[in-house]
Amino acid sequence: MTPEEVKHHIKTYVLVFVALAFLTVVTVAISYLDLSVRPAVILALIVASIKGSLVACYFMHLIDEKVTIYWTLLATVAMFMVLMFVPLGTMLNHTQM
Amino acid sequence: MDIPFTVKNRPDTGLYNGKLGVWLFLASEVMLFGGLFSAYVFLRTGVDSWPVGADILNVPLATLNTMFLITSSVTMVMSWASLKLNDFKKFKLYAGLTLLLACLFLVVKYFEYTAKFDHHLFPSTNNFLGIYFTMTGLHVLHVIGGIFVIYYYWRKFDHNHRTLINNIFCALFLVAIFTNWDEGIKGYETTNGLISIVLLLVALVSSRKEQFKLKTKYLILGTFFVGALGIFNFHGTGYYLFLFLGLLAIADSFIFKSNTTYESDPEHFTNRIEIVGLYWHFVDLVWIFLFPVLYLL
Amino acid sequence: MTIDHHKQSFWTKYVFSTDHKIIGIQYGITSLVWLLFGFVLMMIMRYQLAYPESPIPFVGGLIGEGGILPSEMYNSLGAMHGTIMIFLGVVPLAFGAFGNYFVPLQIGAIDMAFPKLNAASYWMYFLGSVIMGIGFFVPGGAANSGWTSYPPLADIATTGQTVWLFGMVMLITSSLLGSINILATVIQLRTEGMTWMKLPIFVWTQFITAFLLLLAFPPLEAAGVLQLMDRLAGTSFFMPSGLVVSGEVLTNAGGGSPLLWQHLFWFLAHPEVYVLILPAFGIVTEVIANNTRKPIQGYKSLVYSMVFLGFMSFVVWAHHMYLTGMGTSIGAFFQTTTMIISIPSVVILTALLLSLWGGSIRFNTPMLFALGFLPMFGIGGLTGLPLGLAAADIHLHDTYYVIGHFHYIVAPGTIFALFAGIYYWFPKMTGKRTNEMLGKLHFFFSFIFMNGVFMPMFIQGLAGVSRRLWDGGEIYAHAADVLYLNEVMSVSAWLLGLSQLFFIINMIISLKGEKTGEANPWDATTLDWTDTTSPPLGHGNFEKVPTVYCGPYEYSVPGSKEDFTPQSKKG
Repeated sequence: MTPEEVKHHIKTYVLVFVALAFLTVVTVAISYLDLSVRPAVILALIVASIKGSLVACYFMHLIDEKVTIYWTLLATVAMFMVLMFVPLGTMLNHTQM
Repeated sequence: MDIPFTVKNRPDTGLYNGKLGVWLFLASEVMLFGGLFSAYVFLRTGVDSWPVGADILNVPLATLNTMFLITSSVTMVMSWASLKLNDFKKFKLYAGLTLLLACLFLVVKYFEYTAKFDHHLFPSTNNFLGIYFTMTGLHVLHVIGGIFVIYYYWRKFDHNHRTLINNIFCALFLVAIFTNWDEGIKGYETTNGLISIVLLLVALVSSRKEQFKLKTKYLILGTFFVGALGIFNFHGTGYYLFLFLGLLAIADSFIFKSNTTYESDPEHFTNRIEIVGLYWHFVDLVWIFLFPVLYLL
Repeated sequence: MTIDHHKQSFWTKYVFSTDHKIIGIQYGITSLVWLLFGFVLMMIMRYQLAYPESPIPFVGGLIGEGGILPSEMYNSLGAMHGTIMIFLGVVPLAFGAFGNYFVPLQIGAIDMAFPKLNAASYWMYFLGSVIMGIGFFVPGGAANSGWTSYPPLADIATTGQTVWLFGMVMLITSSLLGSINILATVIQLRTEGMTWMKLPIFVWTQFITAFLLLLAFPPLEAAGVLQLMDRLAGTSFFMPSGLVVSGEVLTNAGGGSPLLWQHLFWFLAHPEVYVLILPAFGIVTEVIANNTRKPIQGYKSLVYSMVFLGFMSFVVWAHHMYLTGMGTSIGAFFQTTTMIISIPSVVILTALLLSLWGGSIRFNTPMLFALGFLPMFGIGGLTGLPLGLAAADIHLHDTYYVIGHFHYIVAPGTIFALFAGIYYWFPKMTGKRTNEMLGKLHFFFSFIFMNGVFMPMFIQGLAGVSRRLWDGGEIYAHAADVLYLNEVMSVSAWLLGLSQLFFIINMIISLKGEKTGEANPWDATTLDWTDTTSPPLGHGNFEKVPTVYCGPYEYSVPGSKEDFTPQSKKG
């Protein structure tokens, strides 16, 4: 990486930082709106996901990586989703009956 | 023979070994916290009523903490960028800031926890608090681990470093003594207290002189020892904090060797900072999700 | 990281070594000792089952009053047998020992990607296993809630359970370090020309196993932390409200769910089954290809099946939980996935069977064990199908049928494959040969008695005998007809124990024997045989790091002078 590129990166980092701070304020502000549970959860998770992907893409340079990392993380995300939602399916079905 | 791709990237994967290793480690960490998040969702949907986080927990403090972590994340990445620009001084500045912010995070967390305990809110009170303490506790462990690692690369075993550590340590001990003055400095242990104050002053003065630098670490040891004698009389968190920090300072002075990777192989050192950064950003990332899930929903 | 050649003391060379071969052997020896220990626990239990409440010979004095096994201790032995065999025995042997030693050799790497991490992984495992052992000496004995540690029982069990959880956390950390190492090694350190489709199947299986360990173990760590909180901090993650224990209502907050533990536990423990079996596939494939002197049938379909198997293993776990009161539709989902996962297993088994077709087979000891593996794994796999269907599982759940099923997979299945591996690679590790006669005796006796132990379990299980009975079902009328089988199984188990003497004697004699120093006694094609000495060089493995030109199983290539073409041979 040349010094010019690094300096360019530094500008991006500052921008990302500003965005993160702003989104933190947003997510706290939303929580004071007294929304019902469902939209509150969805909104909060959307904001958190945006923040999370900003951190992952820019601070962790995921955006510049090659396929090996993408495949690894894809597998991880798939398993994470299974872990999060499949047990839940059991539970919902259980309470309906 | 050298193991290939420890420093340079392997052409087809575009990675050096350490970076891949840390990403794999982070993948397992995703699943670790995933297990806890899954437990949270499972427990929450399984019961009829669930407390609102904001009613029990302190949202402004947590927002402050979020800001601390986000800022520490950006200083961390800046410290790596400084190394890329061959600016070691700036690296020390930014990494030092990261450490400071991480410690501030812990201080805020400490006040949050003790406030809960003062109100008789314990992990056993209900499952919300249980999962709150478990998840944030595990996250705090990750923060502490991160502090150790960043500190390891940040520290340089020169005179200034030693003076800094020594002064922080002495100041904390003084705080510990004064906050425990009523119960502590009475009768027999007055002598102890006075001896340690004298030793501290000597340590403080001596650490400012280059020619005394070797003795400083023994003075730290002595201060700690005399201070530790007070264990039967002093009580309270300030004192325990002193003991803990004293042990750390001793370990720092006597056990750990200075990291010399930067001098021998700057590129390797930069890589190390990059992967430490990856870990640190992940800790930040977990908090980004913990914060709304526990505090706001 | 520099590997230097300076002279080393015994301690740095054999104990705190960072050389992957030494660490592999450390793993191997420790896990074999634990395997034997776990087997001894079972032999004690089998005495109680065959002759209920009579004093146990030899070890009775250690057990307590009159040498009769108390029922609490029976539970302890059962739980620890499971834990030890899986987490301290088979996985460290299959993944820790074989993976460490042969993955770098087969891909042409001079060591693992992170040698220090590798040593840390072994010592974590060692520490974890010591903690597990300490469990036997705490008040109330070792963990006694089964190897699955189901709450609420495990939440209120004696101190042994806490020790078990701490041991488990250590073991999980160890296998995480190990799996990161294997993955990074395979991805980063493949030598020039070693493309993914030229990897020996053994490396593929270790690679997929590492992925399973990496992603499946952390949720159990999370669950372990939650259970520790339940036990130590008084939380109620797994404790439902209003639980009554010994006539008293528990005072904890309640609101937790025992099902949560089962989900998190089986999220690990089902992939764990494939962690147990995949390395076995790998070893058997190597041995079969080598001893049939022909290419393995369907290399690519094997690889894809194994990758598919790995992925699917994450979405079948709730077939262990049909009787927990889950909803029926989620049961249907898991029945479907369970039936789907049997397809790649059948593909693999078929490919291995077809590989025998038309080969001129050498019936040496490793080959016998590998051949023994095939039908044994087949029986284990096929008997699993009824358990994967909820309707049949209602009858069979928690009976000896289940025990028979998974032991067929792990004991005559995986452990036979591991023996095959030990006999196959012994000349590489030591430069010496094992005794064929003793090896064959070891195989035939083990084969007979393994079946003697596990086949009757299907009969008992179908008759409805529960797996958790201290007296072997003596007081149940429905068990009366099949009770005599208890003695058959127990005697077989003890004779199986005796048969292992052939193995132990064989190892001792062979280790004392003379070095033949043959680099490639089996005329194999993979890099571990063709490009290293026996045993491989202490540092760096290879005289010159090889370049790969051929696929892994180029046996009997038409027009070639020899009947095997090494992977590193040009053209």
